[in-house]
Amino acid sequence: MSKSREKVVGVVGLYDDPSSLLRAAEGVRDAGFTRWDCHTPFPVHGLDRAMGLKSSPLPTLALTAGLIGVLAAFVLTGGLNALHYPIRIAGKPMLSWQAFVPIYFEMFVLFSALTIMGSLFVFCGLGRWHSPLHDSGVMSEITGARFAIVLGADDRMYSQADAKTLLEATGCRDIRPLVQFEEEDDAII
Amino acid sequence: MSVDTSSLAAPSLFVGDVTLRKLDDDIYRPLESFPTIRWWLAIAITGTLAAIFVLCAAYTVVRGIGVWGNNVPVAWAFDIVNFVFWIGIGHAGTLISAILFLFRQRWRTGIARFAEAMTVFAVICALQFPLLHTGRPWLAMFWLVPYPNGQGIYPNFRSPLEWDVFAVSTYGLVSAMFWFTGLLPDLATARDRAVHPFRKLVYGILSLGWKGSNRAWSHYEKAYLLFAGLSTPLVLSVHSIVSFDFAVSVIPGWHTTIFPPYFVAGAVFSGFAMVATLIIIMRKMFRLQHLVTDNHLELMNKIIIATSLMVGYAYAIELFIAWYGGVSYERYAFLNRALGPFAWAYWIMVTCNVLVPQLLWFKKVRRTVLLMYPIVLLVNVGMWFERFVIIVTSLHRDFLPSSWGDYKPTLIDFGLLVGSFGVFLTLMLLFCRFLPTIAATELKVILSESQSQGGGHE
Amino acid sequence: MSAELGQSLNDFVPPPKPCTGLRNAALVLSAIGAALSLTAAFNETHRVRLGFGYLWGFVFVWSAALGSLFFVGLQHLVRAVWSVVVRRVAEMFAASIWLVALSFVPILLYCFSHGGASLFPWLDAEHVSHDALLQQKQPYLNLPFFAARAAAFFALWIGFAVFFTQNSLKQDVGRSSVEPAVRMRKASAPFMLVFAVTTTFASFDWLMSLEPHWFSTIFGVYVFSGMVVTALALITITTIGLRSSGRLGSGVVGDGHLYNLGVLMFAFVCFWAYIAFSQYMLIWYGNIPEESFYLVRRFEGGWLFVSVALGVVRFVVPFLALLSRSAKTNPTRLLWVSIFLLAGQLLDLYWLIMPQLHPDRPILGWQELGPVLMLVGILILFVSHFLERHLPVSVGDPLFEESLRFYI
Repeated sequence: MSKSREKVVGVVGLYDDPSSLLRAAEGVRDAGFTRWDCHTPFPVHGLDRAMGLKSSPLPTLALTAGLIGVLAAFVLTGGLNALHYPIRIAGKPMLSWQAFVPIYFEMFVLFSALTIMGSLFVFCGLGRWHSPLHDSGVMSEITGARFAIVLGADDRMYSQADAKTLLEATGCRDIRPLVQFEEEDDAII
Repeated sequence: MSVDTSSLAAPSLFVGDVTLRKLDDDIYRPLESFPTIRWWLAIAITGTLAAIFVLCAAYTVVRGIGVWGNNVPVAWAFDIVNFVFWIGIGHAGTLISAILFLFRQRWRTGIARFAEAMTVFAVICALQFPLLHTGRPWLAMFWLVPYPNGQGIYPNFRSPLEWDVFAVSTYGLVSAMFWFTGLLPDLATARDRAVHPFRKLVYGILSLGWKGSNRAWSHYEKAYLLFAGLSTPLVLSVHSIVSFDFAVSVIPGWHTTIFPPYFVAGAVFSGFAMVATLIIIMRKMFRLQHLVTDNHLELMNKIIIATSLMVGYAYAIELFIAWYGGVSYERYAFLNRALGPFAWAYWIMVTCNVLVPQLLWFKKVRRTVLLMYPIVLLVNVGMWFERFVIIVTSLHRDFLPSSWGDYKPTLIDFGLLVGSFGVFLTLMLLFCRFLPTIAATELKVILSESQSQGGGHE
Repeated sequence: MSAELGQSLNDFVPPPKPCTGLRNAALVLSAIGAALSLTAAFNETHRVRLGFGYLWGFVFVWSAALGSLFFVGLQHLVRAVWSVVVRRVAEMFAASIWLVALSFVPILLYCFSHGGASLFPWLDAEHVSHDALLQQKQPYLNLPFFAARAAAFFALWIGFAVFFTQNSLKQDVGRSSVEPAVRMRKASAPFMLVFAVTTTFASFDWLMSLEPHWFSTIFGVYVFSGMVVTALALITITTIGLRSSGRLGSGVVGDGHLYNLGVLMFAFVCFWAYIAFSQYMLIWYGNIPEESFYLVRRFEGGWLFVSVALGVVRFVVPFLALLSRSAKTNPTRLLWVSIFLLAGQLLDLYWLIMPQLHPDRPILGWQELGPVLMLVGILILFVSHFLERHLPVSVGDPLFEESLRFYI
């Protein structure tokens, strides 16, 4: 790497199994950190609680979007086939809801699914390709088989020495600085 | 302390000693090595078939659909048969990825990714046929999609064909999103394993910057669950709506109330047969027998026989009610199926879909690739003929004998059928080469759970 | 080591004790029902309504017992572990199938009597002789074959119910081998085959042939979907009741088990709606007189209200009540939804049966309710009897401990 200027933006602790990560996450949570995160190769059961995360708003969003979809379908089918250009088909009433139910349903699913996908982009930071984890060279360990805690330097609680001590206290034996190349300016968490 | 319960335990999902690291090596190896000569041979064959599809489709568009065998009264034939067949193939993918996920069937993990890819490609193949059948596909937008136009005329939303537009496009889109969501973390692994900068770039872009952050996982898992929850009724609705294409009419043999669940069962049946057909080759080709084990095959075979019995139930009830209902047209339609000019197709259907799969009652057959392989191949054939029987035999005898007709497919019909397999298999081969065929991330969850419990089984 | 096992099991589930309260309530209920039914039986005009009411109650307890038998078979078929702690409740209801068979005898006797034709029009030889369609159906719709089919169905159901219940109860005494569990798994697949065929034709016989001109290929699936919802509701009510009365012991049925019951209930509520809508919409769309008259009668006059109520009670309300994740672990919510769903099953059967008797508008009187109270009372009596003699949990199941550990 020819990159010359690096700045330290936090600290990474690497663990070898999910259970020690869980214990460590509880420790960091109890210490009062807010700008921190865990990185794991697969979702670890119980980690949300250990990190003190609030439950995701996705279900509410998906349901709301789905209901809007049903409303849109109602307006679309009834509005076009009964009001705008009424066509009598097979002797059915103009507002024959029975024949529109399949479209109500499909529009519920369509709107709901598109909202879920869009929300994933927003909530999971998809589309933000860069991360200090790449610069620090730990990303391949995380997506492979190891578990990491990242403490961001922009946390109120953060000081480099303290952060290291905290991670050491959780039993972490592989602690590295989190670095970022100068020209990048990404959110850490 | 108490009796040995190991004979009741869930079957193991791994063979031999599998670790997190080794898992990645096995799954990503095909992506990271140069294709073998066998792969090139395979894609040469399927590519040729796909080219036949393109040629036949082009010929159809240029000359008009008169080059097909369809003619009144048999106005729907190979095109709609193929459409229903391919849509059905896709259903196994959604069943595995969504319904089995909701029921926490952990064995689904080994085959889910592969089956989901099949779903997406099968929907692509299916879509070609109704579009070609419109004769002028470039005008399909005007006929099918409700957009404001100069004439002020809009589609008829009471038509099941219009429901199909909504159902199939929603299904294709949602399946693709569900599939891609599952792929995200695996693409990130591929990115971080990649050595060549170009590979790193491509997988990097595709993985959308996935970092394995738990703040993301928290939403991700919810999203996955919601996708599964949406896909489950969606998959039921799609084939139900396909069945409505026939069942809302008053054609004898088409208008019957059992069609929606019967079509869904049939779709899952044919889809699982196709998954089994292809995954057996895939696991052999890429040496993944320790991740897609014989236990997986046995469980798939159990679903195949269960759905075979459901389909058989529907055949039997249809026959019984045709007699019981006492409507002479219905009675004739079913007699004509079994004894008329297309009786050969009917009996192929019954043999392949109901009789032959009964062999799967035997454990030995379920677990022996050489014994089960002919069966699943025959199921693929039988399910194609099922749609042929439903569509063609019901149409070729109209209400008035003066309107009766015959049906003979043309060479172009066969070209499109065979060619669609070429398109499908080419896409599958490309998928096997460029994307992880097994959901590595999900498998890691199961692996880490089974290791923390210190045993190979739950 | 059986001593150690016995010790650990006693920690979980207390031994059976008398359930006087339940038994007395059941006795009162069945006595009232029997009195009403007897009163109706001795009056010519009331007797016809009693016949329909009795069929209504009979199909209700039949669906409860057979649906539970299906639940038991399904758990063995899919090798479910979580359900081991609730399976005994289902086995209990399944075991009541011989009582259901007994309660079919009056219907059969009624059919052989002169009055049977008021219930099943195809029994009326005079009527049939003027009806070409019914003459065509004679090979199927005739009394000897009807009785023989019922006998065969009940023989099969009782056979399987005894097999599953006895093998499970055998394990309570002491767990010596996994043999019974393996046997039940092996029998579960053939059972499903038998269940599908018998349930379909039983529903054709007892419900569809009330209007012998009408036919619908999905009818068996429709009855099946309602039956499963009913069984799940009963299992949930009983499990929650047993748990809160302390009979289940502590920590046997947890949130995870309730959640799964809730999920299954939710799934089958949706399945019922799917099947019901498919049947309704296809007949509505096709609009062929041969089949649409059945729906026309149910969507006109007072019956329209019942039809709408059916959709609300069986689908809209339970769907919304069970939609959220937390609802599926909330015992109070589950209890109320289950009770609602049982009412929905009664309403559904009312909707299927009674338009034959009261074509113009729905009527509900003591003549119809009497036999329902009686048969439901007898079912509860059976339950109290069972609970006094047997453990409410199959503690001897080889997978019992693993089932306890189930969480979500």
